[in-house]
Amino acid sequence: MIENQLVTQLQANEPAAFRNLVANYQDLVVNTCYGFVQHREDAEDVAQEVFIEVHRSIHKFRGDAKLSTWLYRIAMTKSIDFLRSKKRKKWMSSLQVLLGGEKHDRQVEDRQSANPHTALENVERQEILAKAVSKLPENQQIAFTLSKFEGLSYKQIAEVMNTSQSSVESLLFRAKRNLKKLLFEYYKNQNN
Amino acid sequence: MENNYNKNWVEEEVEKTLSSWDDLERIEANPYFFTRLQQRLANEQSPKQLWSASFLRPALLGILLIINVWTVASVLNSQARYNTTTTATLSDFASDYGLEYNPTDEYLSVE
Repeated sequence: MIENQLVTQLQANEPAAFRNLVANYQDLVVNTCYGFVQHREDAEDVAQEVFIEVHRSIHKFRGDAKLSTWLYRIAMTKSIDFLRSKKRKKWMSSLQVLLGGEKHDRQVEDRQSANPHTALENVERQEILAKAVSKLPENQQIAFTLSKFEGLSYKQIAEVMNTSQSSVESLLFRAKRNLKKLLFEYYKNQNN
Repeated sequence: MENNYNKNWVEEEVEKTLSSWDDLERIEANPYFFTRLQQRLANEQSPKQLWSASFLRPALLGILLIINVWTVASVLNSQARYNTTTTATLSDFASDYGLEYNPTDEYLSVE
């Protein structure tokens, strides 16, 4: 279905239009969110929030950007919000540990269950890389995830992030340089 | 020499790890994704339903007000009856023991 036609139907509140939108874009949205949050169930929850936001604000969509670009942008924003809230919760959880509670770290287990057929070694590497990516400054993290996880071009990333292509190039360059540093330190410590 | 070997190993690991996202498997959304989404949308809209139900609130408030007025009236009524009964009992008691208050006594001189 042509994007514009779908948008027109959505704005006219046609019942089948929203179902079509979700059917066409659910994998794109879930994968984008997964790239950021690195946890399947969380990614689905965030993806649901993305579609709820679309449902709520489709009448405001002017069609200046492509529908997929808009979806990527909402997915990115919601995922970053989720990660921020997770960081706050983690901080609270650390506080709880100090006060004698239990700590929950389910990242390794979940990532393995998300990719059951991938070789264990590669899963471990993906884990290590995901942890390193999570330590990057927010904009570098976004650019790197959209580039590597979604395979978006510089132009597409620039549209999603509402910035210039040269900024994206620069962000990706710095992201890779920082990741190399982080990983170098990690493996250096492993080797000692 | 060993340091050099270690550095090579570390660099090799870094490169392998950096490229580990190149062959990431894409995940598929849960088959019940849309059903769950519909439920969440329905939940999102439910506060509006509650808001529309708030038209019934004046009626509910009216009923509560009537119940309150009735309760207060009942309490006051029973208190009035209690006061009457108490006064009657006290005057009976005073009469029985000659303790009745007679305002004219004030004008009598005590010899």
